[in-house]
Amino acid sequence: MTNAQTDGVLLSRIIDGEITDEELQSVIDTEEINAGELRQLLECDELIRQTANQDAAVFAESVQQRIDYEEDGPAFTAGLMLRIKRRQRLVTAGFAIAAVLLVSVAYQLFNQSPAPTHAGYSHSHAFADGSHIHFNDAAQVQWQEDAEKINVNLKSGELQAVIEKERQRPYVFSTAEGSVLVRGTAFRLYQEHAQSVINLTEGSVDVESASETLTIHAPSRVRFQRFAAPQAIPLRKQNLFIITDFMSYDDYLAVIAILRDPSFTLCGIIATAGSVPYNQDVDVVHTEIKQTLEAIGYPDIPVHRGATGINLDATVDVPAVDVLHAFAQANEGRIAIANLGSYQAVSAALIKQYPDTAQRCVLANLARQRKGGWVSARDDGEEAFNYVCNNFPGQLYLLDEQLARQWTSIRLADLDALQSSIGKRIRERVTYTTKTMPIWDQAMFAVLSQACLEANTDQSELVIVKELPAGDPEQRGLRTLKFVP
Amino acid sequence: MVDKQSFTEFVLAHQAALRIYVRGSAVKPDFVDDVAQECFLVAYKRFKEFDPARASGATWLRGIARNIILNEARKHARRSRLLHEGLGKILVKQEIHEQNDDQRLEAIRLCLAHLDEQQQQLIKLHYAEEQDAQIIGEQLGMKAASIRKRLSRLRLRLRDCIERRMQGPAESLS
Repeated sequence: MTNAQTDGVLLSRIIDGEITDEELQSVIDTEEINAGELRQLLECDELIRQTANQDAAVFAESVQQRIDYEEDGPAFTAGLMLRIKRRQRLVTAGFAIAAVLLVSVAYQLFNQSPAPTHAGYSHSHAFADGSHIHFNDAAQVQWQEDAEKINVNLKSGELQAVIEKERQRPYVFSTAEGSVLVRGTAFRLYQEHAQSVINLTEGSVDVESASETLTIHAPSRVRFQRFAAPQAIPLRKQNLFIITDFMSYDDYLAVIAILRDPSFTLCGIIATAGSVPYNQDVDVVHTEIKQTLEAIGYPDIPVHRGATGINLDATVDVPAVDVLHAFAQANEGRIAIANLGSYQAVSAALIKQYPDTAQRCVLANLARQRKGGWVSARDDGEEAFNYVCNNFPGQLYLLDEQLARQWTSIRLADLDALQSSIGKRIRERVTYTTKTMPIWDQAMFAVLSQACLEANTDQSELVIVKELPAGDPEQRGLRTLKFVP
Repeated sequence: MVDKQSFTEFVLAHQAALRIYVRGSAVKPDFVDDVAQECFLVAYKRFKEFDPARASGATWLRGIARNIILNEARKHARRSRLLHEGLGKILVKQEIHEQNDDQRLEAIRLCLAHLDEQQQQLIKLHYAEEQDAQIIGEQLGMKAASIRKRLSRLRLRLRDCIERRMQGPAESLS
């Protein structure tokens, strides 16, 4: 191979991130690198990316949102929450007027239905009686109304509905598999693989399929198929602990989503040293989480001290694992642990100190595919990540951050439902963050708002890529296993 | 108080060049927008200091970017936004030849248009859909290493094509 070819290969490996830090340092030290050539190629890489994406306007908008965010100050302090509440009161009056106008416009639009939604977008529709439906990405929906009823036909995808009790006409939601007569309720309905599932969070509905009707009351979940009677899916309330390093927007929203989900009991939050800011002290994290929970009206959620670092040397003196163990002793069933980062020291400490308790846990972690294998979703904490993946005796799930990212917009649809408890300002911030925040934070929100938490259910929309085999720890070796999503 | 509308126009006018400069300074692709946004944020806060008579907007922004990247290189952070801190220091100090980035973007558009269907698909999958070589390989029934080689060759050819178009009359890539 000629020098020029060697140089070309080397530069490509650098551009593609295929070279280790040590190799690169060696190349730099020996001055083998052609810096001018590398800059040209990197610039070319960006030119191609910009041309392929055509995203100048989106970028400019993101800059503007970031400026707005910076001008608004730090997130989620008690003072800020008060400001938000004050502003909300003012905004509410404006909203009331706008709502009247919107409803009349919506009514006009409604009468022009059926109106299919378009894949790749999500939006809400408000009805004249105050009911509203949110269609998630890829939902294909038609709706029609007459003097007798309002019929919403979900052809594919997912919708969430909040139907007012005081209404003049009944709502009938139908899919290819059957129909749901709504009595005034809130639910999520999704259709895929020749079956439909309704996840009822408020009120009651009649579900009809194969000429049989089942009346269900919240909270409950029912599956229905074209040629089978509706079948209730047992809904066990899942005990859940969340491990987080900092209560930023995505973590906060995930917590709110969990609190509103009847499927889960949030038993506690474990504060651990982490990434934002770098090397954040665990006591500071602990205090900040407590303050945030108080500010947002959830002072009773217990907060426990986790690990003081991110590697295996931080697995001693982790009070949270004693809490997990005591909880397991006092309660039956499995315990779900959702790790909002890749910081595995708490899980590693649990394995070392209480393997029997760990065996009863379901642990969900973000991960990233690389060279056919799986690595930590972040560029650090690999040591503890590998240790946990190879040694966790309970149920362990790896969630692909890329897939989670794709799900973010879908999960963001939940924000409409959450808005009453979050506030407009925070909604704006989330819009900002999803456009600009690094993907692991997006994944964090996506995972926690849905995927991690359904690790214990049979819902098919999980973002789970791979359930690591139980049993022989050797089988979990990340260096040898190649998972196929 | 900076007029936000004017600043948005400033962003739109300079964002492409700034992002190209940032990527050329060894910032990881996932963080190019993040670092560029940070530059604009600094620019917004110090917009009163901007004097077009002393330096063009592009030059002023590059100066801001240079400081941000050098700070990043000094941080020794676990989660760095740079490909390599040493490399960042080297590239950020590279002499920059003023280039018309609008012309470069137009040039690359023309160069991309001359790619064959398979090459365009590769560009789409890697740059628009942000798939890595492993996943593209699985989709196209090829090894990841082959995909990397193809991407590498494509980059070189496109870079050469841009240079030729910037220097002289239009040429095709092939």
